[in-house]
Amino acid sequence: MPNKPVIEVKNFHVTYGDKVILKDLNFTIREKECFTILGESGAGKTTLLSSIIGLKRPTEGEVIVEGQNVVNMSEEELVPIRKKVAYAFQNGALFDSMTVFENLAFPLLEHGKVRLGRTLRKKVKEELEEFELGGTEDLYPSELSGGMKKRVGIARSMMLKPKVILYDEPTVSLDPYNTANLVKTMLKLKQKGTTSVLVTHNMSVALKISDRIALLSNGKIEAIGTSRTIEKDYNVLLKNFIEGVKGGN
Amino acid sequence: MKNSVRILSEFSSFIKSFASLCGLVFSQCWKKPIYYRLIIKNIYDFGYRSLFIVILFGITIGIVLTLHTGLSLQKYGAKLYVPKIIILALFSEVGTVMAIFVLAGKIGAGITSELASMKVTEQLDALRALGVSPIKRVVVPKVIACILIIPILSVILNCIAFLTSAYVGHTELHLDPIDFLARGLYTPPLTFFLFGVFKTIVFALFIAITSCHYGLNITKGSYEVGRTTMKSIVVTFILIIFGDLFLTKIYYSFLHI
Repeated sequence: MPNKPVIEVKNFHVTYGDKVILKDLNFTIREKECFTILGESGAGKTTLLSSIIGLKRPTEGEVIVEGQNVVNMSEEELVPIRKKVAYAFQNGALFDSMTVFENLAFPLLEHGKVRLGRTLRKKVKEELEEFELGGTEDLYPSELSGGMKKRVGIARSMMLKPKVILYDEPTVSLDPYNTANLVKTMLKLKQKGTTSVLVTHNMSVALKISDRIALLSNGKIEAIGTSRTIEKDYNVLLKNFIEGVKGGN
Repeated sequence: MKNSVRILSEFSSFIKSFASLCGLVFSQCWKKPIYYRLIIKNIYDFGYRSLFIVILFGITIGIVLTLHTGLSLQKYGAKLYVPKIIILALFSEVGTVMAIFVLAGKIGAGITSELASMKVTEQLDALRALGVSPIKRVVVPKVIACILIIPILSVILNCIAFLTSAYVGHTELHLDPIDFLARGLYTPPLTFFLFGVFKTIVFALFIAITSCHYGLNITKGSYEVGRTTMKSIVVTFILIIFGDLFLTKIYYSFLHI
């Protein structure tokens, strides 16, 4: 029996002025699965991903997260959703005035989960060890490498123990070594049962970690299926995508 | 013609978002949690770090005003009026508005560039994604800190300018410094000083809200940060000039001084 749906996107439509970015998207993401949205740059992947936690609003359509439509929710109403659904930004989006420790402690302190003290220090240290970032507590984001920034960003978003994590282009501008490290981290989180939604144009990463893949092109979903189906049945689309032919035509 | 229409429409949309940000800040001010630490940190950043320039400006204004008025009035044998003129000029216009201009440049530019950089690097979105309101955590402490510290800095500048003026009056015009201070302080009524402070509170609000508005609404990349900061300062100056005009008119029309 398939797991219950966590995120449902219905009739999702985004326009900027006269330009249609995304049209009539419909898909469901189930509990514990890793769902990837694959598409070229500027296809509207980030817009779609950030709409899941209400950072952006679609022109039309619904985004249902755990049974609640987030599209018309106010910022205050979205807080419980944002505690359950974490967002890992493309460049980490770390607070540059804070150290790594303070960045990780931030969500816990803000939501009153724990007070400043030994417990907090222990929790942050454990999380950093988990992401192989031990010893970076006192560093500022400017002192970290690109890959480390991204991993700290993911670690920070995992501090509230969310059910779902949304990755926005996690491997972009990373070298193969850091990409492999990040993929390892993502696989670890997947094994722990965290539902993952990944937005990327990195084919090999998508095929490696995804349960299902949606191919986004020309503002609509051209194909959706398991990694194997996509790789097998839509190889022309994939080939065109790799070679940079829009729409797979 | 097209340009004027564009400026007018930009101005009206600015007024709308200015008012909505004011409302948002006001409504968030009372809601828990209140970030006392951040308010204190901002007061330190805006206040303590602006102290040097405020003192320097106070001394300069004191010297320049006294030399100009004193040496001119001396020719007509009216140098005893110097303290009265200086204190009126300082607390009603010159000192207060100069202080506000300096602080708008220093504090306002800092706020706009900080918020704009946070927006460009997605730090504000990261706050939202973590379930924290950027208005409550970033904007409100800055606005409160501005409203608390800018009037104090303005009073400090005026006091330093007046003390410097007394010293210059003594050295250049041979006026007794104690007599100078007494004449100055007993000249205007208390409402005059209170009105000066009230004006700085209003101007502090202009500085804080305008700079936050521009910082939060940056749409392009980091190359836009400098331009947005400059725009925010220009608009703040315009608001201060018109606000000063409006408030001064109200003061003299309704308080009958």
